[in-house]
Amino acid sequence: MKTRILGWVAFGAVTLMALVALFVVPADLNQGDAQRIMYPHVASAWLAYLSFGVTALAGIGWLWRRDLRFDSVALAGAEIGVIFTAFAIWGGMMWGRPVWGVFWQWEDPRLTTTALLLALYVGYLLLRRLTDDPERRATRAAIVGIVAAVDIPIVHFSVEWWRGLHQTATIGSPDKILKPAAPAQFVLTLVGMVLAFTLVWAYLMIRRYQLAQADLAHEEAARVDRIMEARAAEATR
Amino acid sequence: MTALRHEARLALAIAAKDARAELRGRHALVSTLFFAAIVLLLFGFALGPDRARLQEAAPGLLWLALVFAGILAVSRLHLLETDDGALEQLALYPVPRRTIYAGKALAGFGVMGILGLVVLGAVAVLFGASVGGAIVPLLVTLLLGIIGIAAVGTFYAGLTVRLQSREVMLPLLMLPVLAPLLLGAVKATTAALAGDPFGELGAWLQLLVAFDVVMVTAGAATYGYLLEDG
Amino acid sequence: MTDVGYILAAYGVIFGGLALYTVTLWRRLRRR
Repeated sequence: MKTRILGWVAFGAVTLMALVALFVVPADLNQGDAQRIMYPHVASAWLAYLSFGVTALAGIGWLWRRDLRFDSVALAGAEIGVIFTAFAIWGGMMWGRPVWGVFWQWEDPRLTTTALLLALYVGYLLLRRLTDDPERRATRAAIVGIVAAVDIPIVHFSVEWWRGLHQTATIGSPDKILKPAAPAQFVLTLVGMVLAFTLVWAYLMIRRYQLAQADLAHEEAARVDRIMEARAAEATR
Repeated sequence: MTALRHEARLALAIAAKDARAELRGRHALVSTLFFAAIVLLLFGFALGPDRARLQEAAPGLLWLALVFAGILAVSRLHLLETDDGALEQLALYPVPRRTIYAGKALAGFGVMGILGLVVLGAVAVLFGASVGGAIVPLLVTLLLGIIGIAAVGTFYAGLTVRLQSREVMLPLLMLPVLAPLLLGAVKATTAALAGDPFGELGAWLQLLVAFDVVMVTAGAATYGYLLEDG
Repeated sequence: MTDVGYILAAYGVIFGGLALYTVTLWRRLRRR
């Protein structure tokens, strides 16, 4: 019941912020209207990273406590994380084209790191599909999640180096976008968007967690059924 | 004997077992060398024949070849284990997990070390990279890069060895993680070959060291879980 | 594409995608 309320509040918040970002906040002086894309793009990126932090921590939780609920949290984080990562990349590309002139810039550490994040967690999700036993699956996923999480800061740093040592005077210098002059309205809108997205994220996490738990119960029931059938078959032989 | 020295000897023993299996003809090294050679040839076809372009691309091609061959090498080294259940047997002994990891990674490192030297030579010949003048920084870069590939590869090979789609899962999991290593190694190699005009070699080598430390630690810490439940 | 096109593409996919994912979650939960 509380989750449902959260859901509707989140929906309202996100709708409101979308309208604000599109129609209320003024356009940027340099980038024009295209800068409006920044709001959902940055919000998505923030939640993508948050999700994967949750997945890594939940993985540690599983390894430590052996409670499958941790694994359900990890799964929720990974699936929702992949979605927000995809949104962040898409937003980044849609923003990049009008402002930089290109859909992709290798030296933008955020874009490149996020692309790698996507690869890491798609791998995580695929790996999960290959194991039926819930405990083995949880353990494998946990270690992959931890190594992936540990890799991300290294990736970010390395791409920053890459950019830093290659100060080309391109029109689309990433700095113009990453550190724009920030009038209060822009900052407020961004904060509002991030908060609204976080509410949506929380709602989705809860629902996905519930689904994961339900799936586990279903798997367990199916396993018990199979064992009973096998026993029955043996008995009638 | 201190605990650390005892562990080190164990790790070496595990690595030596793999090395002996190699000599008895298990072909991880030989087939991987041939694979790397073929990959380099294909690079030549894809990017050549303009010598200047190949020379520019040489560091990238060197490390791509090493990464791809590395995938094969670690996967073959782990096949040894499933063939005769050796890994499970090993897990039964009271050997610290990180030692098993160290041993397997050491074996991987050995194979890749030889691979690295051969590929470096091949790249020098095929793509005209002037290796001679920069041999020391190049060898250091090679060393650090190979440690990283061996550390990450051993870990993921151990993880995927019992999975169904292991041939695709191993590279799929390993390659994204190796991205920063690839970047650092290629940049360091490029800088070394050019005589380090911007003084960036040190920075890239530091990145490689950081990567290696983090990955070896993570691998050693989690390898135990891999053996138990994997 | 004008800027409006990019804005539509961005907002459409992101907000539409969120809505779509939410609905799929509801459906999968209902089946259980």
